[in-house]
Amino acid sequence: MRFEWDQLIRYGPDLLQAFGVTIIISAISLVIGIALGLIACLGKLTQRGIAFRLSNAFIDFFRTIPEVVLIFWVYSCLPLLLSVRISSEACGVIALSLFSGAYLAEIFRAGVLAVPRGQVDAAYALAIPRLHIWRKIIIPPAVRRMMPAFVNFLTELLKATSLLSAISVGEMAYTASVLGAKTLSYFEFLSAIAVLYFVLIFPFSLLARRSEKKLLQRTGH
Amino acid sequence: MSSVDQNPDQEFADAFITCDSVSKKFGEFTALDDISVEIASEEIVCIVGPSGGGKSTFLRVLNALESIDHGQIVIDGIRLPGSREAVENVRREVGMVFQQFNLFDHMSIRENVTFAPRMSRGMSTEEANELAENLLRRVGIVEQIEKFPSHLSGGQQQRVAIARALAMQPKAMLFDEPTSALDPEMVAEVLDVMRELAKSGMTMIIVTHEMGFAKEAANRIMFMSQGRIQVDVGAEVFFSQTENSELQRFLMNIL
Repeated sequence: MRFEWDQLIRYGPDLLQAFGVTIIISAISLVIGIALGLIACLGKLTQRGIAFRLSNAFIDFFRTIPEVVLIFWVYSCLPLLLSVRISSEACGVIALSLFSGAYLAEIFRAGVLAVPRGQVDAAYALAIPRLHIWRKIIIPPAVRRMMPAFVNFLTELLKATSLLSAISVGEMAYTASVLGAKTLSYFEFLSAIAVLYFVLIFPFSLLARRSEKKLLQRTGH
Repeated sequence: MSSVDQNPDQEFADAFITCDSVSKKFGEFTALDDISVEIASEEIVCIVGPSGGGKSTFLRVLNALESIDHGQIVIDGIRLPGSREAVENVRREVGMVFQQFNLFDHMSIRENVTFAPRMSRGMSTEEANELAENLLRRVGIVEQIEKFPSHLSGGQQQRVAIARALAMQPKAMLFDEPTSALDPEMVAEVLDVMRELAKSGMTMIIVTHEMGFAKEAANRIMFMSQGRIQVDVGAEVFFSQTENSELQRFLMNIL
């Protein structure tokens, strides 16, 4: 067989557009996911009461169900439940935001819990107001400690966008299979998006590895 | 308070800290069992005893780092348990030094010392800087002011921790085994700072295993075990106490 470069060139703009869709959907889901994750993380840190139980349920539920099931559910059931029309792109963003929120909540929480308890005690003992303790004593080291896990999650999220092809969101995986079916050049298009995913995601993997190494150097163990 | 009339022969008249039937449990474990005690202004109290006997918990409730289940504590007229404001007021008056130093390791020494007065007392940066320099000079490490905690030895870190607590200009200081995490050759430099502090008239409560220091620096030594203050006497007579067999055993093992 022959690698049909001219097909790739001809449909290059479509692939690039799909590349953009993948990035935009990831970015929006990430932003909403961070917000949800922060709320759920704070809820879980309260350790009791209604906020704690709601956060816990949210985290457990969306971390447990398979992402594809979540995506199908949001696409097929949520519009019925709310009796509104929701575009497949919006469904994708909703599903991935919930997924991100649940995972990020646990990543944020692990970062906060990794801040040495003694330093927090010392800050309290110095009569420092709670808000300043969060701003200056807990959050900066917590962010540093959660960075590797956060960047790792980002790579998972970028990969998870390909699942949205199941509800025909025009991201890379869907676009490649549509173009493949249309031109019968599956080999070319699927290879092309594999390379594009790699180019997109591998730098983050490197970044995660580097931030992990830096953290180890800083904390010294 | 009229305790002057009631205790005419006590050397220290005014109670700065009063504990009244204070109890604290962690689950089933009784950490503090019905403790009632008074500590006067400018008194130097050392607390000794086996681990798990409640010494650290006692210090932590005095700074409201642990809540209490029963009883009440009055520190300089402020009652605990109390509102968040009361808790913060107590912490402004009572500094604390920890076994593991607990310096903020992402901040320089200067930031460690200036942070609390700026955030909690609303001091200007210049004022706080000047205060920090004076205090660090007093504990002998002003030349390390721009370094980070991880670049200092344990003894130096603990001296910074003392300066950090003093920066709040507290009326009393609590020390929770301040030399237990130190290499032997660094113990003296920390004890020297504490001795100097004691001479300056600071009220101090010190949990320690340094019997020599306790004997020479304290006015009063308490022996705590099983959540109770078993012995509470003047430092000069503490080591000749023979009635309490548990204390006897403890002293034999440690001396």
